[in-house]
Amino acid sequence: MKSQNVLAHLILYSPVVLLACFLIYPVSAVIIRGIVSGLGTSITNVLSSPVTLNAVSFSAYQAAISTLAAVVLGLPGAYLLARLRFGGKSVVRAAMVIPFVLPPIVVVVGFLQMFGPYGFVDSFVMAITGSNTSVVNLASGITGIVLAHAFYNAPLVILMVSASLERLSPDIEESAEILGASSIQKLRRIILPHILPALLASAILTYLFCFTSFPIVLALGGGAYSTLEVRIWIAFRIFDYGAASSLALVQILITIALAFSYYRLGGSRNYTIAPTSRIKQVGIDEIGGRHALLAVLYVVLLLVLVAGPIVAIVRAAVYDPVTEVYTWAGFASLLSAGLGGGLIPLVNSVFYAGTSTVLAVVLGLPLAYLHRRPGFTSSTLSSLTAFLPLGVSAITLAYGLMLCVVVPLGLSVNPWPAIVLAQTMIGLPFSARSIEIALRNIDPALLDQADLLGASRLQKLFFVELPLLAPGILVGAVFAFAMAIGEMSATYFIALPQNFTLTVAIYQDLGVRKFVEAGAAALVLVAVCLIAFLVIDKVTGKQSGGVL
Amino acid sequence: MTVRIELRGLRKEFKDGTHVGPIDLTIEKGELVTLLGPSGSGKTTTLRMVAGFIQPQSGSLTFNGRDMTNVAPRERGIGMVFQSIALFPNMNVFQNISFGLDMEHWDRTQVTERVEELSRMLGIHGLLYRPISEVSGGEAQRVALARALARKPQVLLLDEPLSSLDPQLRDRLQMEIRKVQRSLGITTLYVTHNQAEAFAVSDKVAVMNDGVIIQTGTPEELYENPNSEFVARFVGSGNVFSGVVEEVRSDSILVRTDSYIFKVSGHRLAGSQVFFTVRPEDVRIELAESGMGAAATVQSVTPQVGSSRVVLDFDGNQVVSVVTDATMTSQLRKNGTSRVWFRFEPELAVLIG
Repeated sequence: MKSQNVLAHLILYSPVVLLACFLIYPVSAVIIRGIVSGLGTSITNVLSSPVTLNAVSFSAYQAAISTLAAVVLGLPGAYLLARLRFGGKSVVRAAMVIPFVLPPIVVVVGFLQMFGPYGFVDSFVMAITGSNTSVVNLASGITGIVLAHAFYNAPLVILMVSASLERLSPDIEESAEILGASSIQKLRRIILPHILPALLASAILTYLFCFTSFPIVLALGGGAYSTLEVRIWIAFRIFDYGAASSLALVQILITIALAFSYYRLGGSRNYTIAPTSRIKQVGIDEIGGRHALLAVLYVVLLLVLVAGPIVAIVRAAVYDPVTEVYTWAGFASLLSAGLGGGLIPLVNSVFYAGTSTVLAVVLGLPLAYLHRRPGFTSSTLSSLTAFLPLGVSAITLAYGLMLCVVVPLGLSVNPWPAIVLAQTMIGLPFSARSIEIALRNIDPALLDQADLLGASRLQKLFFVELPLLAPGILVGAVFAFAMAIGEMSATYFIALPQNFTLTVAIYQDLGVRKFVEAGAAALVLVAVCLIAFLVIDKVTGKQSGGVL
Repeated sequence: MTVRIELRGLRKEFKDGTHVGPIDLTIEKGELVTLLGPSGSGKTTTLRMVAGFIQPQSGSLTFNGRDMTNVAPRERGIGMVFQSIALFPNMNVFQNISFGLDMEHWDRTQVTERVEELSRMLGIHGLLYRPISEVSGGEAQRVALARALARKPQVLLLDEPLSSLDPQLRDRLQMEIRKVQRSLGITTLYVTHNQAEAFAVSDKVAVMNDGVIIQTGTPEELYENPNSEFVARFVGSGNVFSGVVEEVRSDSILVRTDSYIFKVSGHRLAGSQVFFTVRPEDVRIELAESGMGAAATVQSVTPQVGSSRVVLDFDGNQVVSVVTDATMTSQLRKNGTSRVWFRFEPELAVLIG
């Protein structure tokens, strides 16, 4: 009995221990060593440097604008998704997950094709104005960054806020109506306070993602703009460990504060649960002309911004803007095994992401159980462990893994385990959360029933709990896989050329203007994400937003 | 100002083909009328048409003769309590009650006075500054009622307001609702599926089934003279007998059921199918055959206040009898599921329809 208990504790706390070894230790080692070793710029110089100030303020500024854009763009969508009755609604809802799982570098490819020079939008404007040179370029500079961030995060706002709106009992709204509230008063006094926690949570999450954004800022910002994460990357590249560590410390403190406030908001999220499925909805045919026109305009805007770049990737895969011809060269390169070919990155991507997915699920399971345990310490520890990877700079983690795993273990010649570790850490928050949600949905009476019918602890686990958890585990695995295969920052930092993944290959291809090669690789990743979406949709039906 | 509500031929058809109405109902000034019926019978739809949340396809709805069909809910002068109570979770008790007054831009001191007055009347004065998450079920109910009454509405609509409460609390609150309604003299439409609740609070009850009102009357009228088998089963004891008229006499008829011929006061054509009902207190049980009663077997004997409720099986139908005689009760209990005989006076049976 006693040894069983010890074993159970060992299993439960193993993810925490592993995270301590492969996340907390490497990251803190990097920071402490960088700050105390005196190599490069000292922390006081970094903190007082105008460059740092610029990076912090630019990170904060672009994240604020991006969040505002995502919220402004997402709110009408949330309202429509919650209140409009139309066919295929659950598919639309599930499709909102697609942008989120798309790798940033793939989004960059899609954005260039859609909004960049000679892209779809530009071609359209050129045709109207009769110009034969590029007229608009929305895919670069601050505009491009904000648009790309809105692309990512507007669906997030839509999902989270519409889920909250659907939990608002129609009786509450009707009570307000009958008590004389006008539409505006109802919105201000009833609906807004109700969705506020969800709105804030989605805004904080958006802000968090935008603040630490790396590939998008690097690729669309064209070097002129740098967030903290970009500055960290540059500092490491020029071996200024002091600067890199100090910047990483600043970023971690900011992101942990954001992640923590997101977590705190999560607790107060479900507060008016509608007693029945009677959600206040209207059919498309019931809305008036002016409102219908606005709705249609909005949907078109959303399609251009969100679906456009995804569709544009198809063109990017076959159209070479340099030679101005349609070609299969991108796909041919994808299957070529030689130097600069796509086969090795493809195999690497699948192998690394697959391995890290298995790890993320194996670690996610005990983490989810730990979260359900009574008592403040275990559940807080578990939440913290699951959220920590969201708050830590991927570049810093990558460097930490190099320093504390790759070098001491002599893996410098082929550091692939470090890539898998980094991708595991990045996928873990999603697998843990998905499993935790599935665990929460198991009726405890079911387990008691199994107990009464004479099932042992292990029988209960294998015949009752795990089968019930299977959909949650699958969704978590799919999410973790999508996040892992789309990971670029840490992988790029660790990888030697033989370790390159598709995302890294895309970035490299873009740098040397091999556009179709980048497009074809991006299309493969889009296909992976679409499959992921289909699996998630199939398994969860309506609740796919919950994992976020 | 009190209001007389008239529903004339009010009808609503839903996309799935089900429909409610035509509904004809008059609620006199200051009266409390209950819509009573099983779930899905159209009570709530009717109430929501009066509130204005559902637009009827045909028919008219008037308050004091004024057509209301195109008036927005918030301009109908209605107070409403929902089944889910629907208190605003982001406000405290005071803010909930004063919400309607704020919408009308009442003066601050007037608002305070009104909220104080209502909270005293409903016994929730001590919890005005509590958040909604910290009030109990019964208190929430009172807060919802206070909120509905705050603007001095002309009409009060109550949609299953007590269904989430335990029986003792429900009994107490239905009395309070009745008292408040009487003292304010406010015209009220009440919806419930609970017959006892309907009879306890109502001046008049309208029994609904399948989207239409089957019978309207005072509780006594419905209990004593149900106009249909449904009403007899739903609001009465459930003692409904069916048979064919065997013989017509001067003031009574003989009705043949599967195994017995009952004598019932009244008149029907010979050979016609009839239903009649007998109140449980009028069914007498005999332990020995006298040749005057129908044979049945005892299903259960349940003690209740001052009597016992005995359920008999008569040809596969349930017959309920109330037995006040203690020796009879103990005898029935001792005998178990034995054979007994029951009878009733012909003039106490009521022909339906």
